[in-house]
Amino acid sequence: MFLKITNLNKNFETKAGSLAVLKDINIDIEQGEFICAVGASGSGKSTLLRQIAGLDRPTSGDVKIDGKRVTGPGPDRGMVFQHYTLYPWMTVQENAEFGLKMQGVPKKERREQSSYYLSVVGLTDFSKALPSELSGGMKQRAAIARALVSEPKILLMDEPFGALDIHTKEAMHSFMLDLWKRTGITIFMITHDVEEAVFCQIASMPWAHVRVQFAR
Amino acid sequence: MKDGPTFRSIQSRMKPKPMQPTVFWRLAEDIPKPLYSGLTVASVAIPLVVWWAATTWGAIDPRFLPSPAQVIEAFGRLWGTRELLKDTVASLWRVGVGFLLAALCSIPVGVLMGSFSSIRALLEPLFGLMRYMPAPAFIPLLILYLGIGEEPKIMLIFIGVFFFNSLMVMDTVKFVPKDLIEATYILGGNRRTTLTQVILPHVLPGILDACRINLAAAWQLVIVSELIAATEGLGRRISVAGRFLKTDEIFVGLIVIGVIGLVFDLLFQYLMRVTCKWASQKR
Ligand SMILES: Nc1ncnc2c1ncn2[C@@H]1O[C@H](COP(=O)(O)OP(=O)(O)OP(=O)(O)O)[C@@H](O)[C@H]1O
Ligand SMILES: [Mg+2]
Repeated sequence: MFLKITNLNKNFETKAGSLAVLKDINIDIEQGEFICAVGASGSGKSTLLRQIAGLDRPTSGDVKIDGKRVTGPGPDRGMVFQHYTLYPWMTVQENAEFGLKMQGVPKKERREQSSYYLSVVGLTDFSKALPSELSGGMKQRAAIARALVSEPKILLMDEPFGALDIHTKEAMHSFMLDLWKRTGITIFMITHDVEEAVFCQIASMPWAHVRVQFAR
Repeated sequence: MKDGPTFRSIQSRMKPKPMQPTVFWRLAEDIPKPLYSGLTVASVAIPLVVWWAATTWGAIDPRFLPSPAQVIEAFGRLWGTRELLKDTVASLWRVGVGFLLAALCSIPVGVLMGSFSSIRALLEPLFGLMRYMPAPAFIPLLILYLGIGEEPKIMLIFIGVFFFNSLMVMDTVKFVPKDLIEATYILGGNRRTTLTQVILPHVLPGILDACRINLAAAWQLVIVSELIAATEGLGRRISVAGRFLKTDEIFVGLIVIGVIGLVFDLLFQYLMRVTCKWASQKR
């Protein structure tokens, strides 16, 4: 099992008392799967993803990737956030290669690598643009390129297309499917949009489906 | 409500306030460029004209209010004897050294305070207290400790800038979006790279802005320090001129002080535009 979540619980201590957001979550994802999780707003989707990313500690239970327990964030996991998180002072290309830069990859190689993934997401022409000059969909594609550049084992996506219109969203869906088929990457995507989740399923992928149903 | 939400004709109780089209009173919108330039010129020109008219027709004692021509003449006189230049250089030197020292210390301290709650807890109470002690109130102590040379003047500027600047820099750091920091962790950044390569560039415009504001404070403090004990400097020039009722020289001093301050401000704005294109584009 590639991603294994066992008996995960997460409580938030608030003024009104302890808020149990995640209750006994068990998820298994195989390598190369494209899994969509659906849940209503406020059901704890982002919270779950943060535990997998290692940005937050579960109250109990654990998350294992490739047999290794997650204890903190790391470049083996790529993440695309619900909100735009590009660095506003960097160009699209600089954003894309920033992860490699921090890992000490030489300049020439990271240029090549980031250029390749910018072409994958169709942003070659905008590699010198600042994030403020991009549309919402382009920003998310740039964020996807940034997450892919370090070729993570798993891509975590938190409602990446939530703010997009239906046409752009559909374009992004087929883009994601295409990307997934070509790279063989494992994707765990979170959405509140059942149609978005079902889309993964009907696109001739019997193993990509609505696996987790959050209840609240 | 049993039947679910319905409209309850609140519209009939509303008194709509229509908005007339306007050029001058546009809220948070640009006005036409010529109007903007015109108003900018007027903001300086109107006081000048009023000043000129008052001294020409107002029959005011020139010892009380000299005319623009007299002030220009005094400027020429002071410039000719090179006294004005000497005073300006003396004041600029004090501000330069004092402000630079304060900025060099306060920027790292402010960034650390903003980034680490531990350091904030350690320093914020003290700095918050010091901020409310006006720097000029330290003058007697500074003279007692450091004499009447350059040191107390530079120290005064340092005290007046350091605490404010640290706290203002700290505030800009607190506004770095948490998402951005977390995205950096996900990309494999550790605390050090996050601090130097994400937090620092993100707060650079804020730091420049804080420095710009506090340079104005430093410029005021140097004048204050010179009013008390100095052999040269623009503040000294003004207080001497006052003693001899040379009102025209007071005006020269004031105008030079104002113009230099304005140049500082414009320099910082320029620096900001050059180094932080991304931040100025937002506006
Ligand atoms: N740091 C926190 N402290 C306290 N409560 C929190 C915290 N983070 C999240 N919560 C609570 O946890 C619940 C789930 O939040 P979460 O952000 O995971 O929702 P979500 O499913 O991602 O919703 P959305 O679709 O709107 O993004 C919410 O009720 C929220 O108030
Ligand atoms: Mg969410």
